Amino acid sequence: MITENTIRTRFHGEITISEKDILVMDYDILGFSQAKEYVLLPHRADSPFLYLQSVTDPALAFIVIDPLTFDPDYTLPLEELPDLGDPQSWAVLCICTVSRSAQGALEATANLKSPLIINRQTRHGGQFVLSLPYSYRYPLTGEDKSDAGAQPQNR
Amino acid sequence: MLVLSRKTDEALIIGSGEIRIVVLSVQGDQVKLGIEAPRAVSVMREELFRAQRENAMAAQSVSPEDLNALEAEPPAKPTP
Repeated sequence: MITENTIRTRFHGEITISEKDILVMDYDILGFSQAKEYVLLPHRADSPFLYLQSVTDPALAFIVIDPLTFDPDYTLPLEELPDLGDPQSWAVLCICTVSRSAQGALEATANLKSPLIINRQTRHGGQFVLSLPYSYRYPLTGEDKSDAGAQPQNR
Repeated sequence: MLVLSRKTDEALIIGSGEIRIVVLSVQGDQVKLGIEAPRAVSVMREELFRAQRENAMAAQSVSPEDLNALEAEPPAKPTP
């Protein structure tokens, strides 16, 4: 039996979700240990950005993006990650920060150092801090971003 | 940065004695530290602290308007 739930969201009003839409962060989104369950919601059609909306806290949402969208070489050190099931089923998402500089310019960064990894089959996963020298604030704005959005969404 | 040398089982005191850090063992490039601190003092690995801080900033910065503006940059081709 599939249970449906109506939840309030930060940007999508009230929506009805099915139990199978819920992603469970067994490994905490760091600093948000109270919010374990999320759903992925679109930003808009053709956008590589998604919202990771908390199921229990309407005010809590993150902007996330598949790192392969802008860094085709992004790799995960499997040896330092726990058993999350078949890596072929993993969805990888990086949390983005979008802000305005003092001059009003838009600045967007993605946290490649601590990605979210979720098994699409089991819908369980969480956030991991990698030992690789990736940036916590990989710039998505600025110079060369001619290829942004050109890569496929799935691995 | 203050630099001090310590041997195994030697310790450091931070503040007026309420925080104590002991070198428990050294193996190759890995150092095992023991930390005694009051409950109110948060002790974290630096990378977790940074990730937590980035998450907090990200959660505050979420704005569909900014995201739309971001995607419109560099000036997109005008849509008919």
